[in-house]
Amino acid sequence: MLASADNERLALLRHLYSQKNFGRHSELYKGIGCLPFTREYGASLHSATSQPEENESAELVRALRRGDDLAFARLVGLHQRKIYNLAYNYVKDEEEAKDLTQDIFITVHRSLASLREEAKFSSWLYQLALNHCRNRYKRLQRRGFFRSRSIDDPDCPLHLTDGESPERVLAQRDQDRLVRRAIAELAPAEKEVVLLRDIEGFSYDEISEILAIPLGTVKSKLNRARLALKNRLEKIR
Amino acid sequence: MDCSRIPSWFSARLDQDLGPAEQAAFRGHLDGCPSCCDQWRSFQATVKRVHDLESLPAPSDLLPKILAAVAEHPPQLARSSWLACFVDYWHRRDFSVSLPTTVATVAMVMVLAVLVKGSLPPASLPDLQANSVVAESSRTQLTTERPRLLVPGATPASTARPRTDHLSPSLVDVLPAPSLSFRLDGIERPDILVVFHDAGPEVLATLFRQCFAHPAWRVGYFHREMLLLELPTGELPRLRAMLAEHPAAITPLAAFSAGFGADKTTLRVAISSR
Repeated sequence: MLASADNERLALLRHLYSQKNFGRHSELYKGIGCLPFTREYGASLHSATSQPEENESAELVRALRRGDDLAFARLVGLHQRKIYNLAYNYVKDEEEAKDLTQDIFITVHRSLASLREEAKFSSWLYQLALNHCRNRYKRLQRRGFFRSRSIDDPDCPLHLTDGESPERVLAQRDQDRLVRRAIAELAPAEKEVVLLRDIEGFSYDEISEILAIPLGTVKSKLNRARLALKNRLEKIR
Repeated sequence: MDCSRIPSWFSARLDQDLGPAEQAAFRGHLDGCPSCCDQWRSFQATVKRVHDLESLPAPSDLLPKILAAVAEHPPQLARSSWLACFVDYWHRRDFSVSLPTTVATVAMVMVLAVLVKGSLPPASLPDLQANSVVAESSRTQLTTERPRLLVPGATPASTARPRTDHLSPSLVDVLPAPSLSFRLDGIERPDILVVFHDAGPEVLATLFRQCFAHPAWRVGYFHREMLLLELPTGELPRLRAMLAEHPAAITPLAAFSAGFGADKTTLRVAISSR
Protein backbone atom coordinates (compact mmCIF):
# COMPACT_ATOMS: atom_id res chain seq x y z
CA MET A 1 0.00 0.00 0.00
CA LEU A 2 1.46 3.30 -1.01
CA ALA A 3 1.32 6.29 1.30
CA SER A 4 -0.35 9.47 0.02
CA ALA A 5 3.03 11.21 -0.39
CA ASP A 6 4.19 8.31 -2.54
CA ASN A 7 0.99 8.56 -4.58
CA GLU A 8 1.67 12.24 -5.19
CA ARG A 9 5.18 11.47 -6.28
CA LEU A 10 3.99 8.78 -8.61
CA ALA A 11 1.37 11.10 -10.12
CA LEU A 12 4.04 13.72 -10.61
CA LEU A 13 6.33 11.15 -12.14
CA ARG A 14 3.63 10.03 -14.54
CA HIS A 15 3.02 13.63 -15.51
CA LEU A 16 6.70 14.31 -16.07
CA TYR A 17 7.16 11.03 -17.85
CA SER A 18 4.62 12.18 -20.40
CA GLN A 19 6.55 15.43 -20.95
CA LYS A 20 9.20 15.88 -23.57
CA ASN A 21 12.69 14.67 -22.77
CA PHE A 22 11.78 13.53 -19.29
CA GLY A 23 14.25 10.69 -19.40
CA ARG A 24 17.10 13.04 -20.05
CA HIS A 25 15.98 15.37 -17.28
CA SER A 26 15.24 12.84 -14.61
CA GLU A 27 18.75 12.93 -13.19
CA LEU A 28 18.61 16.68 -12.85
CA TYR A 29 15.23 16.74 -11.16
CA LYS A 30 16.56 14.25 -8.70
CA GLY A 31 19.49 16.55 -7.94
CA ILE A 32 17.25 19.52 -7.41
CA GLY A 33 15.31 17.56 -4.89
CA CYS A 34 11.82 18.34 -6.14
CA LEU A 35 11.49 14.66 -7.01
CA PRO A 36 13.00 12.68 -4.16
CA PHE A 37 13.03 9.36 -5.97
CA THR A 38 16.04 7.12 -5.86
CA ARG A 39 19.02 7.41 -8.16
CA GLU A 40 18.40 3.92 -9.51
CA TYR A 41 14.83 4.68 -10.49
CA GLY A 42 15.86 7.85 -12.25
CA ALA A 43 18.66 6.07 -14.03
CA SER A 44 16.37 3.37 -15.29
CA LEU A 45 13.90 5.95 -16.61
CA HIS A 46 16.72 7.77 -18.31
CA SER A 47 17.91 4.74 -20.20
CA ALA A 48 14.33 3.62 -20.92
CA THR A 49 13.54 6.78 -22.85
CA SER A 50 16.78 7.80 -24.54
CA GLN A 51 18.21 4.46 -25.61
CA PRO A 52 15.35 3.45 -27.94
CA GLU A 53 15.71 6.75 -29.71
CA GLU A 54 19.43 6.12 -30.17
CA ASN A 55 18.69 2.62 -31.43
CA GLU A 56 16.07 3.89 -33.82
CA SER A 57 18.43 6.54 -35.17
CA ALA A 58 21.17 3.97 -35.67
CA GLU A 59 18.73 1.67 -37.45
CA LEU A 60 17.57 4.51 -39.70
CA VAL A 61 21.16 5.45 -40.54
CA ARG A 62 21.85 1.83 -41.50
CA ALA A 63 18.67 1.76 -43.61
CA LEU A 64 19.68 5.00 -45.29
CA ARG A 65 23.07 3.54 -46.08
CA ARG A 66 21.38 0.53 -47.59
CA GLY A 67 19.52 2.91 -49.91
CA ASP A 68 16.18 3.23 -48.12
CA ASP A 69 14.98 6.68 -49.22
CA LEU A 70 12.28 6.91 -46.57
CA ALA A 71 14.79 6.45 -43.78
CA PHE A 72 16.09 9.99 -44.10
CA ALA A 73 12.60 11.48 -43.82
CA ARG A 74 12.03 9.43 -40.67
CA LEU A 75 15.41 10.46 -39.31
CA VAL A 76 14.61 14.13 -39.84
CA GLY A 77 11.17 13.63 -38.33
CA LEU A 78 12.77 12.07 -35.26
CA HIS A 79 15.27 14.85 -34.64
CA GLN A 80 13.96 18.01 -36.31
CA ARG A 81 12.17 19.36 -33.26
CA LYS A 82 15.21 19.07 -31.00
CA ILE A 83 17.54 20.53 -33.59
CA TYR A 84 15.12 23.34 -34.36
CA ASN A 85 14.90 24.18 -30.66
CA LEU A 86 18.65 24.04 -30.29
CA ALA A 87 19.04 26.42 -33.22
CA TYR A 88 16.29 28.68 -31.94
CA ASN A 89 17.79 28.89 -28.46
CA TYR A 90 21.17 29.60 -30.00
CA VAL A 91 20.28 32.39 -32.43
CA LYS A 92 16.92 33.39 -30.90
CA ASP A 93 15.20 33.92 -34.23
CA GLU A 94 12.58 31.71 -35.81
CA GLU A 95 13.53 32.28 -39.44
CA GLU A 96 17.22 31.82 -38.77
CA ALA A 97 16.52 28.72 -36.69
CA LYS A 98 14.46 27.28 -39.51
CA ASP A 99 17.13 28.02 -42.05
CA LEU A 100 19.80 26.61 -39.75
CA THR A 101 17.85 23.40 -39.15
CA GLN A 102 17.44 22.96 -42.88
CA ASP A 103 21.16 23.50 -43.45
CA ILE A 104 22.03 21.09 -40.67
CA PHE A 105 19.95 18.26 -42.10
CA ILE A 106 21.19 18.90 -45.60
CA THR A 107 24.72 18.56 -44.23
CA VAL A 108 23.71 15.40 -42.38
CA HIS A 109 22.42 13.95 -45.63
CA ARG A 110 25.51 15.01 -47.55
CA SER A 111 28.09 13.82 -45.08
CA LEU A 112 26.57 10.70 -43.63
CA ALA A 113 29.53 8.74 -44.98
CA SER A 114 31.78 10.40 -42.42
CA LEU A 115 29.73 8.98 -39.53
CA ARG A 116 31.74 5.98 -38.35
CA GLU A 117 29.53 4.59 -35.59
CA GLU A 118 25.80 4.60 -36.16
CA ALA A 119 25.25 4.24 -32.43
CA LYS A 120 26.79 7.66 -31.91
CA PHE A 121 24.50 9.42 -34.34
CA SER A 122 23.11 11.83 -31.72
CA SER A 123 26.55 13.04 -30.63
CA TRP A 124 27.58 13.44 -34.26
CA LEU A 125 24.37 15.27 -35.10
CA TYR A 126 24.72 17.70 -32.21
CA GLN A 127 28.39 18.26 -32.97
CA LEU A 128 27.47 19.14 -36.52
CA ALA A 129 24.49 21.25 -35.42
CA LEU A 130 26.54 23.22 -32.93
CA ASN A 131 29.20 23.92 -35.53
CA HIS A 132 26.50 25.32 -37.79
CA CYS A 133 24.94 27.34 -34.96
CA ARG A 134 28.29 28.69 -33.81
CA ASN A 135 29.27 29.87 -37.27
CA ARG A 136 25.85 31.28 -38.05
CA TYR A 137 25.83 33.12 -34.73
CA LYS A 138 29.24 34.65 -35.49
CA ARG A 139 28.09 35.64 -38.96
CA LEU A 140 24.91 37.24 -37.62
CA GLN A 141 26.86 38.98 -34.89
CA ARG A 142 29.26 40.44 -37.46
CA ARG A 143 26.34 41.77 -39.44
CA GLY A 144 24.88 43.42 -36.34
CA PHE A 145 21.83 41.16 -36.51
CA PHE A 146 21.38 41.01 -32.75
CA ARG A 147 21.73 44.76 -32.32
CA SER A 148 19.12 45.54 -34.94
CA ARG A 149 16.27 43.58 -33.40
CA SER A 150 14.55 43.00 -30.10
CA ILE A 151 15.60 39.82 -28.43
CA ASP A 152 12.14 39.32 -26.94
CA ASP A 153 10.55 38.35 -30.26
CA PRO A 154 7.02 39.40 -29.25
CA ASP A 155 5.66 38.02 -32.48
CA CYS A 156 6.50 34.47 -31.50
CA PRO A 157 3.26 32.54 -32.22
CA LEU A 158 1.37 30.83 -29.45
CA HIS A 159 1.66 27.06 -29.66
CA LEU A 160 -1.30 25.46 -27.93
CA THR A 161 -1.52 21.75 -27.35
CA ASP A 162 -4.60 19.76 -26.28
CA GLY A 163 -5.92 20.58 -22.83
CA GLU A 164 -3.84 23.73 -22.37
CA SER A 165 -5.45 27.04 -21.55
CA PRO A 166 -4.18 30.15 -23.34
CA GLU A 167 -3.58 31.83 -19.94
CA ARG A 168 -1.30 29.09 -18.78
CA VAL A 169 0.51 29.04 -22.07
CA LEU A 170 0.92 32.81 -22.00
CA ALA A 171 2.31 32.71 -18.47
CA GLN A 172 4.65 29.92 -19.44
CA ARG A 173 5.67 31.83 -22.55
CA ASP A 174 6.51 34.92 -20.51
CA GLN A 175 8.65 32.77 -18.27
CA ASP A 176 10.25 31.08 -21.24
CA ARG A 177 10.91 34.37 -22.96
CA LEU A 178 12.87 35.63 -19.99
CA VAL A 179 14.85 32.43 -19.75
CA ARG A 180 15.55 32.32 -23.49
CA ARG A 181 16.63 35.93 -23.40
CA ALA A 182 19.01 35.20 -20.54
CA ILE A 183 20.38 32.17 -22.40
CA ALA A 184 20.73 34.19 -25.60
CA GLU A 185 22.87 36.72 -23.78
CA LEU A 186 25.34 34.11 -22.58
CA ALA A 187 28.68 33.72 -24.32
CA PRO A 188 28.56 30.96 -26.98
CA ALA A 189 30.75 28.57 -24.96
CA GLU A 190 28.54 28.95 -21.88
CA LYS A 191 25.37 28.81 -23.94
CA GLU A 192 26.39 25.51 -25.50
CA VAL A 193 26.93 23.67 -22.22
CA VAL A 194 23.64 24.96 -20.83
CA LEU A 195 21.76 23.96 -23.97
CA LEU A 196 23.31 20.52 -24.05
CA ARG A 197 23.00 19.76 -20.35
CA ASP A 198 19.98 21.62 -19.07
CA ILE A 199 17.78 21.59 -22.15
CA GLU A 200 18.88 18.61 -24.20
CA GLY A 201 19.80 16.62 -21.11
CA PHE A 202 23.07 15.12 -22.33
CA SER A 203 25.39 13.51 -19.81
CA TYR A 204 28.70 15.14 -19.00
CA ASP A 205 30.53 12.45 -20.95
CA GLU A 206 28.40 13.08 -24.01
CA ILE A 207 28.90 16.85 -23.75
CA SER A 208 32.62 16.31 -23.40
CA GLU A 209 32.56 14.27 -26.62
CA ILE A 210 30.34 16.68 -28.52
CA LEU A 211 32.29 19.79 -27.58
CA ALA A 212 35.66 17.98 -27.61
CA ILE A 213 36.66 19.39 -24.23
CA PRO A 214 37.71 17.57 -21.04
CA LEU A 215 35.09 16.46 -18.54
CA GLY A 216 36.36 18.81 -15.85
CA THR A 217 36.09 21.74 -18.23
CA VAL A 218 32.50 20.80 -19.04
CA LYS A 219 31.62 20.83 -15.35
CA SER A 220 33.34 24.09 -14.59
CA LYS A 221 31.89 25.77 -17.69
CA LEU A 222 28.42 24.56 -16.83
CA ASN A 223 28.64 25.89 -13.30
CA ARG A 224 29.90 29.24 -14.56
CA ALA A 225 27.15 29.37 -17.18
CA ARG A 226 24.43 28.54 -14.68
CA LEU A 227 25.69 31.18 -12.28
CA ALA A 228 25.77 33.72 -15.11
CA LEU A 229 22.26 32.70 -16.07
CA LYS A 230 21.10 33.08 -12.48
CA ASN A 231 22.58 36.57 -12.27
CA ARG A 232 20.99 37.58 -15.56
CA LEU A 233 17.59 36.23 -14.58
CA GLU A 234 17.80 38.06 -11.27
CA LYS A 235 18.50 41.28 -13.17
CA ILE A 236 15.75 40.75 -15.73
CA ARG A 237 13.14 39.82 -13.16
CA MET B 1 34.27 28.55 5.15
CA ASP B 2 34.59 31.42 2.73
CA CYS B 3 31.30 32.39 1.03
CA SER B 4 33.04 32.90 -2.32
CA ARG B 5 33.81 29.19 -2.55
CA ILE B 6 30.23 28.02 -2.18
CA PRO B 7 28.91 28.96 -5.66
CA SER B 8 31.63 26.87 -7.31
CA TRP B 9 30.05 23.81 -5.66
CA PHE B 10 26.48 24.48 -6.78
CA SER B 11 26.46 22.30 -9.89
CA ALA B 12 28.37 19.53 -8.15
CA ARG B 13 25.84 19.61 -5.32
CA LEU B 14 23.01 19.50 -7.84
CA ASP B 15 24.52 16.45 -9.47
CA GLN B 16 25.30 14.90 -6.07
CA ASP B 17 28.94 14.90 -7.05
CA LEU B 18 30.29 16.34 -3.79
CA GLY B 19 32.31 14.05 -1.53
CA PRO B 20 31.07 13.43 2.04
CA ALA B 21 33.40 16.03 3.55
CA GLU B 22 32.48 18.67 0.99
CA GLN B 23 28.83 17.81 1.32
CA ALA B 24 29.01 18.31 5.07
CA ALA B 25 30.92 21.56 4.69
CA PHE B 26 28.42 22.79 2.09
CA ARG B 27 25.43 21.96 4.27
CA GLY B 28 27.09 23.37 7.38
CA HIS B 29 27.87 26.64 5.65
CA LEU B 30 24.36 27.02 4.24
CA ASP B 31 22.85 26.41 7.66
CA GLY B 32 24.71 29.37 9.04
CA CYS B 33 24.72 31.70 6.04
CA PRO B 34 21.35 33.08 4.86
CA SER B 35 22.95 34.87 1.92
CA CYS B 36 24.50 31.70 0.49
CA CYS B 37 21.28 29.86 1.23
CA ASP B 38 19.39 32.38 -0.94
CA GLN B 39 21.98 32.04 -3.67
CA TRP B 40 21.61 28.27 -3.62
CA ARG B 41 17.81 28.47 -3.82
CA SER B 42 18.04 30.95 -6.67
CA PHE B 43 20.51 28.67 -8.45
CA GLN B 44 18.18 25.70 -8.13
CA ALA B 45 15.26 27.74 -9.37
CA THR B 46 17.27 28.94 -12.36
CA VAL B 47 18.22 25.43 -13.41
CA LYS B 48 14.64 24.29 -12.98
CA ARG B 49 13.35 27.18 -15.10
CA VAL B 50 15.74 26.24 -17.87
CA HIS B 51 14.54 22.63 -17.65
CA ASP B 52 10.96 23.78 -17.84
CA LEU B 53 11.48 25.67 -21.07
CA GLU B 54 8.67 24.76 -23.41
CA SER B 55 9.91 22.98 -26.49
CA LEU B 56 8.79 24.75 -29.65
CA PRO B 57 7.23 22.58 -32.34
CA ALA B 58 9.21 22.36 -35.57
CA PRO B 59 7.66 24.42 -38.38
CA SER B 60 5.36 22.30 -40.50
CA ASP B 61 7.08 23.20 -43.76
CA LEU B 62 10.53 22.32 -42.48
CA LEU B 63 10.54 18.62 -43.35
CA PRO B 64 9.25 19.07 -46.94
CA LYS B 65 11.81 21.80 -47.51
CA ILE B 66 14.65 19.63 -46.24
CA LEU B 67 13.54 16.67 -48.33
CA ALA B 68 13.21 18.84 -51.43
CA ALA B 69 16.69 20.28 -50.85
CA VAL B 70 18.37 16.90 -50.35
CA ALA B 71 16.60 15.41 -53.36
CA GLU B 72 18.83 17.61 -55.50
CA HIS B 73 22.00 16.14 -54.01
CA PRO B 74 22.32 12.37 -53.65
CA PRO B 75 24.00 11.32 -50.39
CA GLN B 76 27.61 10.15 -50.32
CA LEU B 77 27.11 6.71 -48.91
CA ALA B 78 30.47 5.28 -49.89
CA ARG B 79 33.84 6.29 -48.50
CA SER B 80 34.95 9.33 -50.42
CA SER B 81 38.25 10.74 -51.60
CA TRP B 82 40.34 13.16 -49.54
CA LEU B 83 39.02 16.04 -51.65
CA ALA B 84 35.43 15.01 -51.03
CA CYS B 85 36.25 14.61 -47.33
CA PHE B 86 37.69 18.12 -47.26
CA VAL B 87 34.65 19.58 -49.01
CA ASP B 88 32.42 17.65 -46.66
CA TYR B 89 34.40 18.92 -43.64
CA TRP B 90 34.05 22.45 -44.95
CA HIS B 91 30.29 22.08 -45.30
CA ARG B 92 29.97 20.53 -41.88
CA ARG B 93 31.88 23.39 -40.28
CA ASP B 94 29.63 25.81 -42.15
CA PHE B 95 32.32 28.47 -42.40
CA SER B 96 31.13 31.95 -43.16
CA VAL B 97 33.06 31.97 -46.43
CA SER B 98 32.15 29.59 -49.21
CA LEU B 99 34.71 27.11 -50.45
CA PRO B 100 35.01 28.55 -54.00
CA THR B 101 35.54 32.04 -52.57
CA THR B 102 38.28 30.78 -50.30
CA VAL B 103 39.99 28.83 -53.07
CA ALA B 104 39.84 31.88 -55.35
CA THR B 105 41.24 34.12 -52.61
CA VAL B 106 44.11 31.75 -51.85
CA ALA B 107 44.92 31.45 -55.57
CA MET B 108 44.88 35.23 -55.95
CA VAL B 109 47.19 35.69 -52.97
CA MET B 110 49.62 33.14 -54.41
CA VAL B 111 49.64 34.86 -57.82
CA LEU B 112 50.19 38.22 -56.15
CA ALA B 113 53.02 36.80 -54.08
CA VAL B 114 54.71 35.44 -57.22
CA LEU B 115 54.25 38.75 -59.03
CA VAL B 116 55.61 40.79 -56.13
CA LYS B 117 58.56 38.45 -55.72
CA GLY B 118 59.33 38.66 -59.45
CA SER B 119 59.22 42.44 -59.44
CA LEU B 120 61.73 42.81 -56.60
CA PRO B 121 65.26 43.83 -57.65
CA PRO B 122 67.87 41.10 -57.24
CA ALA B 123 69.90 41.27 -54.08
CA SER B 124 73.26 42.91 -54.70
CA LEU B 125 76.38 40.88 -54.42
CA PRO B 126 78.30 41.60 -51.26
CA ASP B 127 81.46 43.50 -51.61
CA LEU B 128 83.74 40.63 -52.33
CA GLN B 129 86.80 42.77 -52.59
CA ALA B 130 86.49 43.56 -48.91
CA ASN B 131 87.11 39.92 -48.25
CA SER B 132 90.78 39.27 -47.74
CA VAL B 133 90.61 35.85 -49.38
CA VAL B 134 89.06 37.33 -52.45
CA ALA B 135 91.58 40.14 -52.48
CA GLU B 136 94.30 37.51 -52.61
CA SER B 137 92.74 35.47 -55.37
CA SER B 138 90.67 37.77 -57.48
CA ARG B 139 92.33 39.46 -60.35
CA THR B 140 89.32 40.42 -62.30
CA GLN B 141 87.87 43.27 -60.28
CA LEU B 142 84.61 41.63 -59.45
CA THR B 143 82.52 44.51 -58.18
CA THR B 144 79.13 44.84 -56.64
CA GLU B 145 77.81 46.30 -59.87
CA ARG B 146 78.22 42.99 -61.61
CA PRO B 147 74.94 41.30 -62.32
CA ARG B 148 74.13 38.14 -60.52
CA LEU B 149 75.55 35.09 -62.20
CA LEU B 150 72.78 32.93 -63.59
CA VAL B 151 73.41 29.29 -63.00
CA PRO B 152 70.83 26.88 -64.41
CA GLY B 153 68.52 25.75 -61.63
CA ALA B 154 70.09 28.04 -59.08
CA THR B 155 68.19 28.42 -55.83
CA PRO B 156 68.26 31.05 -53.11
CA ALA B 157 70.73 30.52 -50.31
CA SER B 158 68.00 30.13 -47.72
CA THR B 159 67.50 26.45 -48.54
CA ALA B 160 69.46 24.23 -46.21
CA ARG B 161 72.25 22.48 -48.02
CA PRO B 162 75.20 20.62 -46.63
CA ARG B 163 78.78 21.79 -46.82
CA THR B 164 78.19 25.35 -47.91
CA ASP B 165 79.22 27.12 -44.74
CA HIS B 166 82.73 27.58 -46.02
CA LEU B 167 81.59 29.46 -49.12
CA SER B 168 81.17 33.14 -49.61
CA PRO B 169 77.47 34.16 -49.33
CA SER B 170 77.46 35.39 -52.89
CA LEU B 171 78.54 32.01 -54.11
CA VAL B 172 76.19 30.06 -51.92
CA ASP B 173 73.45 32.25 -53.24
CA VAL B 174 73.75 30.93 -56.74
CA LEU B 175 74.66 27.32 -56.09
CA PRO B 176 72.57 24.91 -58.09
CA ALA B 177 69.89 23.00 -56.25
CA PRO B 178 70.80 19.47 -55.16
CA SER B 179 68.12 18.11 -57.44
CA LEU B 180 69.76 19.60 -60.49
CA SER B 181 70.38 17.11 -63.26
CA PHE B 182 74.10 16.69 -62.71
CA ARG B 183 73.59 13.03 -62.07
CA LEU B 184 74.39 12.18 -65.65
CA ASP B 185 77.91 13.30 -65.04
CA GLY B 186 78.20 11.56 -61.70
CA ILE B 187 78.46 14.89 -59.89
CA GLU B 188 75.40 15.68 -57.93
CA ARG B 189 76.13 18.61 -55.69
CA PRO B 190 78.93 20.98 -56.61
CA ASP B 191 79.79 23.24 -53.72
CA ILE B 192 82.47 25.44 -55.20
CA LEU B 193 81.86 27.93 -57.91
CA VAL B 194 84.64 29.36 -60.02
CA VAL B 195 83.57 32.37 -62.00
CA PHE B 196 85.16 33.33 -65.26
CA HIS B 197 85.11 36.93 -66.20
CA ASP B 198 85.01 37.68 -69.93
CA ALA B 199 86.27 34.24 -70.83
CA GLY B 200 86.30 33.67 -74.56
CA PRO B 201 85.85 30.31 -76.28
CA GLU B 202 89.60 29.82 -76.63
CA VAL B 203 90.16 30.31 -72.92
CA LEU B 204 87.41 27.89 -72.09
CA ALA B 205 88.63 25.32 -74.58
CA THR B 206 92.11 25.52 -73.09
CA LEU B 207 90.75 25.18 -69.61
CA PHE B 208 88.64 22.19 -70.52
CA ARG B 209 91.58 20.49 -72.23
CA GLN B 210 93.73 21.06 -69.16
CA CYS B 211 91.06 19.60 -66.92
CA PHE B 212 90.70 16.50 -69.06
CA ALA B 213 94.45 16.12 -69.10
CA HIS B 214 94.49 15.26 -65.40
CA PRO B 215 93.52 11.59 -65.05
CA ALA B 216 92.68 11.94 -61.35
CA TRP B 217 90.18 14.73 -61.93
CA ARG B 218 86.63 13.87 -62.61
CA VAL B 219 85.09 16.20 -65.15
CA GLY B 220 81.37 16.63 -65.74
CA TYR B 221 78.76 18.99 -67.07
CA PHE B 222 81.25 20.82 -69.20
CA HIS B 223 79.92 23.26 -71.67
CA ARG B 224 80.07 26.89 -72.43
CA GLU B 225 78.75 28.04 -69.13
CA MET B 226 79.78 25.56 -66.55
CA LEU B 227 82.25 22.89 -65.73
CA LEU B 228 82.15 20.59 -62.77
CA LEU B 229 85.13 18.90 -61.25
CA GLU B 230 85.72 16.34 -58.58
CA LEU B 231 89.23 16.53 -57.27
CA PRO B 232 91.11 14.32 -54.89
CA THR B 233 92.27 16.48 -52.01
CA GLY B 234 95.88 16.47 -53.04
CA GLU B 235 95.04 17.88 -56.42
CA LEU B 236 93.87 21.21 -55.12
CA PRO B 237 97.22 23.03 -55.54
CA ARG B 238 97.32 21.88 -59.14
CA LEU B 239 93.87 23.33 -59.76
CA ARG B 240 95.00 26.53 -58.12
CA ALA B 241 98.06 26.70 -60.33
CA MET B 242 96.01 25.96 -63.41
CA LEU B 243 93.52 28.68 -62.64
CA ALA B 244 96.35 31.12 -62.02
CA GLU B 245 97.30 30.76 -65.68
CA HIS B 246 93.94 32.06 -66.73
CA PRO B 247 93.69 35.80 -66.15
CA ALA B 248 89.97 35.73 -66.54
CA ALA B 249 89.42 33.23 -63.76
CA ILE B 250 88.08 34.09 -60.40
CA THR B 251 89.19 31.15 -58.37
CA PRO B 252 86.96 29.43 -55.86
CA LEU B 253 87.15 31.35 -52.64
CA ALA B 254 86.89 28.43 -50.32
CA ALA B 255 89.47 26.45 -52.21
CA PHE B 256 92.11 28.95 -51.21
CA SER B 257 91.32 28.84 -47.52
CA ALA B 258 93.77 26.84 -45.47
CA GLY B 259 91.41 24.27 -43.98
CA PHE B 260 89.31 23.65 -47.03
CA GLY B 261 88.83 20.04 -47.93
CA ALA B 262 90.73 18.75 -44.91
CA ASP B 263 87.99 16.34 -43.96
CA LYS B 264 87.11 15.26 -47.49
CA THR B 265 88.36 12.58 -49.76
CA THR B 266 87.04 14.31 -52.84
CA LEU B 267 86.41 17.94 -53.66
CA ARG B 268 83.69 18.96 -56.03
CA VAL B 269 84.27 22.06 -58.05
CA ALA B 270 81.91 23.93 -60.28
CA ILE B 271 83.37 26.28 -62.82
CA SER B 272 81.17 28.72 -64.54
CA SER B 273 81.74 31.42 -67.08
CA ARG B 274 79.77 34.48 -67.90
